[in-house]
Amino acid sequence: MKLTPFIAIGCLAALWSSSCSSRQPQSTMTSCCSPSKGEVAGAPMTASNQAAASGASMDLFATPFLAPAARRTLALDDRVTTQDGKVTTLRELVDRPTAISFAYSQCANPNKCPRVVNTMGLLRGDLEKAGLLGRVRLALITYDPGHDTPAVMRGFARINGYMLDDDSLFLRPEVDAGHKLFHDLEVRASFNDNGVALHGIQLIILDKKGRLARSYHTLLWDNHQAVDDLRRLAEE
Amino acid sequence: MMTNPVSSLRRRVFAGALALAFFCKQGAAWADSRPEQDAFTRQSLEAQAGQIRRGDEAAHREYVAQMLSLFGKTGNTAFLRECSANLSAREALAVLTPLLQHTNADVRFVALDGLLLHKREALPALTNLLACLSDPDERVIVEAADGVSQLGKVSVYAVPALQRILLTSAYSAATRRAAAGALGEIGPPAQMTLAALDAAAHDPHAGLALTALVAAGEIRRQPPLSCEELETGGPAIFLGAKAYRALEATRVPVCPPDESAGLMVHLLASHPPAPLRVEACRILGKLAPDSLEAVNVLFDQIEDPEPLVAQAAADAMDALPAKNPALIPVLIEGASQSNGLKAILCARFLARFGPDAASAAPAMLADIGHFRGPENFGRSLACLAAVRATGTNASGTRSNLSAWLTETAVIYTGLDQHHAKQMRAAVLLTLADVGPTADALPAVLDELANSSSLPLQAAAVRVAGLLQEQGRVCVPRLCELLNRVGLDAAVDLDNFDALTEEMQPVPGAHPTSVCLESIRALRRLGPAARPALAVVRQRAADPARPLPYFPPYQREAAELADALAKMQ
Repeated sequence: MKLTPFIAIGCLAALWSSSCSSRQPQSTMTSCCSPSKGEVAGAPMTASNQAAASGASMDLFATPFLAPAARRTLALDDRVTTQDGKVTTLRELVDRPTAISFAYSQCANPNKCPRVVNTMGLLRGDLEKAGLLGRVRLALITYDPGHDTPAVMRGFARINGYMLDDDSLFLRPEVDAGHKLFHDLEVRASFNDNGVALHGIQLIILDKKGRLARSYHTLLWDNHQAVDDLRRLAEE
Repeated sequence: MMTNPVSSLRRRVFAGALALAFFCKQGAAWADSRPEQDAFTRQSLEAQAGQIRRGDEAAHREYVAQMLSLFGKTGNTAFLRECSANLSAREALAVLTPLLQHTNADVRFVALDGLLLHKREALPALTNLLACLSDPDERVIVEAADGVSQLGKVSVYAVPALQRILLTSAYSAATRRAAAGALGEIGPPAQMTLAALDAAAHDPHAGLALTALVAAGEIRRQPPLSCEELETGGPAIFLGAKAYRALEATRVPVCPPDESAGLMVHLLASHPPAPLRVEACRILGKLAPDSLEAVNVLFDQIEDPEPLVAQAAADAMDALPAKNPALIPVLIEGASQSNGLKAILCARFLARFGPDAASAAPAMLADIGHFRGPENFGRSLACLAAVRATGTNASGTRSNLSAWLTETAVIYTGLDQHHAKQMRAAVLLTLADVGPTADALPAVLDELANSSSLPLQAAAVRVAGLLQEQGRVCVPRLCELLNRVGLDAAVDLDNFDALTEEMQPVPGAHPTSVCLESIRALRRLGPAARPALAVVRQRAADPARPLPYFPPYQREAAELADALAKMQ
């Protein structure tokens, strides 16, 4: 069987695609009305930039950052499988401040899940630069545990520039209990028998006790702001 | 069982390569969403330059070549249908006639449909049209039979082929019925087919039998019965030798419309054979009475076990006028029944009452909440359309509608992604008409910023423009849409057929109209949008990046230019 051409095409395409991913600017667009030199039209606009450009309040795209006493504890008993196939619970993984977002590999909308995964990859880089990696954790959870096996999640993360390790995870809920986890985390999605029907964009920030500190939604979050949030939580 | 480690490794590598290829394709789709990589937009803009309608032969040939290349190579029926409706007869003959021989039956069907829109102006392609009567695909035959019978005197050339179809039992009853109907349309010149039609009038298939009976009557030019004969004969007269003349008398009608409608109601109540039930329903639809009796008798026929009767009753219900307010409570009751077709018809009927049926809005919302899932999708859209038609009279529904915009709303549960998006677009459009509130902002921004669906974006743009002061937050996204939308997204539109039927979305939600809606929205937002207008003007004046434009949408493009001019 001649496999070489497949592998070569796959690898070349992966390289090309990852270079495309890295070209996507994040948190750089000051206004979609006036893209600055070198910017790609149609690039994602973050919540804070959108708010700045329109004079709107950030409350429209995020909940306020809550003080410890005002935070409520989320149910984190749901079992999940990591990208390495290890079965654990969310509770065990949220042993430090954690940012959780959601995506799935079969998402047909190029403006949503691939960008979410890419933005999580960039967030990981920002956390590393800020010296926070190891003190905080990132986690993506797939909406589609029926399809997204650990191998699929690893592939999806790789081509969208999200490096996986103990500090940045890709998690698969149990197939039967998937909807329970999404309900517990108040995820903005509805489902059909085969998977997700409609979903939004969301990043939830938990403190080390598993309490909800803030939730970004509707638009892609601003990674600088997410780094600030996680730093504040790490210093608590 | 032992596993061969080498073949297992090969399988894994092969699966890995496939997965990589899949993910890379997704990456490519992402990259292609950017305008500078939208080859289709570029190609269209380069090719047209506004010369086509000015009689420039070279440009015309170029346009024809381009269309053939686009449609012929890809078999892109959705876009072909969108464009063929807007072609001139000359363009249609040049572009569509060769496509009648396309290997893809869908392309042949749409090309034929597009040609027949031009009726007698399509006569230069008569030979090709007649050849369609021998097409291997029966949909094409049915379309051709209907079309050639409308071509005037030359239709007689189709008679031998139509008779052959009628006599060929291998064809479906629907195809043979179309042939019989076409022969009836042609009339006396189809005299030679009378024996075949008389035989078909006894066919076990109700629709074919009735069509053949009527066609034979039309070819013989039998005069209708008089009103007196009709009244004295009663329902029984429709069953005997005078059946065609009796039907013709109600169709003309020789009696006053109300009396004829009453006769049809009595005929249906006497439960005649299926062909007559079909015809009586059709005649009722044409007479369009506004009486409760007519509605009730049609309700009964909707549940008829014979599908043709149910369909004819449904068509008749759709044709009844919304004049009699006494019908509204009956229709609200009908809309809440478990029979989905009946509910849809009642909701549509209520929609025709417009603002007068505002009292139905709460019941419509309750219906959407109660009957959910894929099997009730069409019903929900019909109910939303009824609410939409009441306009601001249904302002009490605003909070419910806004709540349904959240991704977790129960109305999306169980739907596939395609239908979930349609549902959200329908809710947005409804909200636009009843008057949106700031609660809709998160969903509107989500669609403006993240959606990959043009109709959904068009609906969100419309709501954004109506949010007044709160809509200011949408201004950057509206500008962005003006910059970003590409013509390739037009292909997506055809996937929203059901939405088009029930909801009448933003007219022809193609990229030009999304831009147009964006400009209108910005104008509606008034001073809040002022910073954006300079950018819009700059964008419009930039020769390197013209706004999406396509000849079939000239009117919209002209409107867009006009809107831009008024902003100066």
